[in-house]
Amino acid sequence: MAMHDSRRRRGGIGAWAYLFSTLLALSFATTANADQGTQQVNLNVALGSPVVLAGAKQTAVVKVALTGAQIDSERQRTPVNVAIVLDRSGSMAGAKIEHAKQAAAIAIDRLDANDVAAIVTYDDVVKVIMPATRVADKSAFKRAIARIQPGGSTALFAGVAKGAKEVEKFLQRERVNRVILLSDGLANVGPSSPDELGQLGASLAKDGISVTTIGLGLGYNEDLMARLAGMSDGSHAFVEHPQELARIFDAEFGDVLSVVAQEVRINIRCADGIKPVRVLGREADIAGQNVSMSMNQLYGAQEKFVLLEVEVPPGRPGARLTVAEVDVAYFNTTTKQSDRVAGQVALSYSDSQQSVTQATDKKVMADAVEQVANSISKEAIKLKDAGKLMEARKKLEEGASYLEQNAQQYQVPRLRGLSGQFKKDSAELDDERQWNRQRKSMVKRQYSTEKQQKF
Amino acid sequence: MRNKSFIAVVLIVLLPVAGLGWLGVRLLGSERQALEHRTRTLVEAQLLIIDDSIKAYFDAQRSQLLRDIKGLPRDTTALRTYAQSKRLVRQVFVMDARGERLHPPVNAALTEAEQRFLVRSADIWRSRDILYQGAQPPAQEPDLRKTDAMRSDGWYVWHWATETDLIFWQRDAERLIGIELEPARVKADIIGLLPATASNEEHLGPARIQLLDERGALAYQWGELNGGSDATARLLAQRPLSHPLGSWKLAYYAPAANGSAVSGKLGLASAVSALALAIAGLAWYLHREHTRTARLAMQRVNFVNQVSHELKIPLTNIRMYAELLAQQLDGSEERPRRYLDIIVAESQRLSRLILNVLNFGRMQREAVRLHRQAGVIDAAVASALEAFRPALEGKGVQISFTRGAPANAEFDRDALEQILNNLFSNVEKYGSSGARLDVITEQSADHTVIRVRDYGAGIPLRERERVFEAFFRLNSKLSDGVTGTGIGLTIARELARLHGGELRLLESESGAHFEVTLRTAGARA
Repeated sequence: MAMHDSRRRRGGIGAWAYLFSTLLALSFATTANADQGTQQVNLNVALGSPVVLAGAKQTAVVKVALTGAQIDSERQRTPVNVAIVLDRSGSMAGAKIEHAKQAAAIAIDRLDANDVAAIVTYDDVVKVIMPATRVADKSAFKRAIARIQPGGSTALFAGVAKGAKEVEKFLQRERVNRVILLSDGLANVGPSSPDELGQLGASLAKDGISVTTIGLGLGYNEDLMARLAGMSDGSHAFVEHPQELARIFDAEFGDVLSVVAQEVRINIRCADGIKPVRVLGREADIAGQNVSMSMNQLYGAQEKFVLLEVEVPPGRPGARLTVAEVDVAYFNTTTKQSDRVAGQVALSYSDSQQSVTQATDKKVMADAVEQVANSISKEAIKLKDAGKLMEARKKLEEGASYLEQNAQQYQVPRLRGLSGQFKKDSAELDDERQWNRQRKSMVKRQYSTEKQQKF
Repeated sequence: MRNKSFIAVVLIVLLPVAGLGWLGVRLLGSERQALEHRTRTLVEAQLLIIDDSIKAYFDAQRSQLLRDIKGLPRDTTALRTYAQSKRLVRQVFVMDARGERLHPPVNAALTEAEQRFLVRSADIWRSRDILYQGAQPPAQEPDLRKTDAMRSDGWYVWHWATETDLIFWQRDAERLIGIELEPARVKADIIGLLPATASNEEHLGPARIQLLDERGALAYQWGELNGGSDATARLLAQRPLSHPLGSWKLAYYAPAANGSAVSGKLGLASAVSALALAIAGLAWYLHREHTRTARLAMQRVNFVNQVSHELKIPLTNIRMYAELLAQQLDGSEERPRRYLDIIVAESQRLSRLILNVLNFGRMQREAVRLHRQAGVIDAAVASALEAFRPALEGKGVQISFTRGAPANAEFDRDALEQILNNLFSNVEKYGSSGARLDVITEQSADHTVIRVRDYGAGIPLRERERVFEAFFRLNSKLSDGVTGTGIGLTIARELARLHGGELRLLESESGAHFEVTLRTAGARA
């Protein structure tokens, strides 16, 4: 917000200066790795404001965007190693368990003999009803799925642990290693705090295992589920009605089957004089000039990005400054080799507000605005949780008008739509009966925004 | 009588059943104890194996971490990369020989994770000695029981918020490297190595094993117990884990009633109840037989009662008219007079029988009332004896009556007459072979004793009491050709008792010797 406000106060500038500095900036925003033939990942490093006003300290946003290549055919697909972990607690009885079984069976249908899958269920205890096996005999999987019966409590942690154990049996960097967790209730047997599940997720991510969490109905703990997915770089979904499960499983498997790169390590080295402030949305380690973070995988034809807010020192008009060098290492699942891609970004100083405005990368700014709005939405939930309804509402309205202003400024209709959503969230905030549903929906949207999740 | 037989039946059934049941329970109890002991030993062995597998896990981690540490570069970036990439590692720290911090770096910017680590590990930085203390292995592991100074590596455990935090450390002369493990991942790994719950419980049976953390909270459990509900679970054994998770424990739950114990108890219960059923059936059969006999007797008595009632009136008429006829005969008609005497005597005998029967029936139904009147016992005895004299003398019996009760006394004449009639009639029927009848009376202030003794076949010793039972007849040999109802002595004894006295059979060398005692209050000499 601060960076954005500071920018809006600047005055006009000449078109020439704008053009010049834009070209300059673009020349620095490069994708350096030459070998485009096997290039699985396209790196694009950009600044929200490639041209800044001279003479003042200010903040800027660096966007590091990674886009996976489109996979051409089914043959190229990365084999998967997945454990489907299904909640079979008593509350799943009825339509929920039936749709879950159906969705799992459909998911199995999308796999083939190169893939490995396991089916784990849990209630008070964990049952590995199908240990990690190559999906050669689909009917064996379906028979195991068909036998699932609803039972007692919710040993969620143990379910995930056992699911992860199955995935570990075939843990290979050439595979998409994933646990897909479906739960409709609160973890009430074994470890149950969002922190612990988050830690487990983070640790699994180090092995290259992501956990996708699907919350079903209105009884689950969305913080825990989002945390577990977030720390392991999986997906998170809120499924209010069981009949939507098949669609969500389909979307999830669509992603899983399109993975093109794994073990993605992003290193951003800020140039001297540039101070990294924070990373918007994602978890990152900031140590001195170095910012590092990981993504577990990149999906084909999907953009994932990191937004880094930096402090830029005052400069003379016309001066150029390298802001950051970005180095991305990843494992190419097609060539089965480690690859690197690097890039850097620079900005220039100008006296002209107009050139600053015209140089502005609206797309980057819109992404940044969206992330900032997202954190406002998160704060609103915190306020509501603390019983501060009015403050929460005020927060959301602030977010709505912030989005509205920026939608206008950067001419991004998406932000306007988001503003409408914020207003709606604010209006519905005092409906206690709907709060549970609304909270889950908000957490899910926040999650999707942070992780650029497509479903 | 009825009550007694009922109690007898109950005792017959209950005593053996209770005895057998007790024996069975004791046997089963000791068997169960043995079984319990065996089960417990097995369960403890099972828990030991589980603990061993967890211990092996930590041993493997230790070896891995020692290898890691050996190859670990000392620069900050490498240490950070190590912490960020190792699944089980949450944080790494390095101290120099003086306990000063080398990593996380002192003079460089820290990551957020490192800052959090320094907060939670503040105690270690205050005094690294706690690492060695916390790493104290249990005494039963002698190879690890070195002095602090000697040990070069170990585990340190501490409880931070709700989690058990583990640090593995290794030191040499220059530095100490500590590796903090990721608690959630350690838990997940342990859960991973412990068995899942199988759909068909073959190896574990109906049981559940729980892993409890340092707060006693359930971390993981497996095993199907009563189809998932553990409301009836019973703690069979528990065992703390080995170092370093010494504050955690394993608990083994079995169904509240062990399967074999249940079947044992069930088996015992069914055996005992089968036995009880058999005995009860037998008892019921006996009881039914008994009551049937009694009922038959009762019916017989009732029938005889009714018949006797019907007979009373015609008999009275026969007697009356026979006596009237006798008065009208003159002395010359010897023959008809003899016939009439027989008619009268026989009808008198018949009335006595009828009276007996009626009395007996009355006594069964209701209390008989005595009508005491003043009179002389000896006179009553003589009159009764007189009535039998023709019949007795007809059988060659010599009668001797020794009078000893001449005083006026209060007694029921009818009752006394009936008692004596029965005794004399017995003498006539069974004792006439002795050809002698002694009747002796004695009297005290309030009692009168009458002894009636014959010298016939007598009554065997073992039958002495039974002759007083209703419908009891001595063996057929003795009773051959003799008729009777079998209730005479019963009635006589009842009447005597009613009269505050007793009818006893006295011991005698030959024949039957009966003694009647009557309370004859108010007797005056």
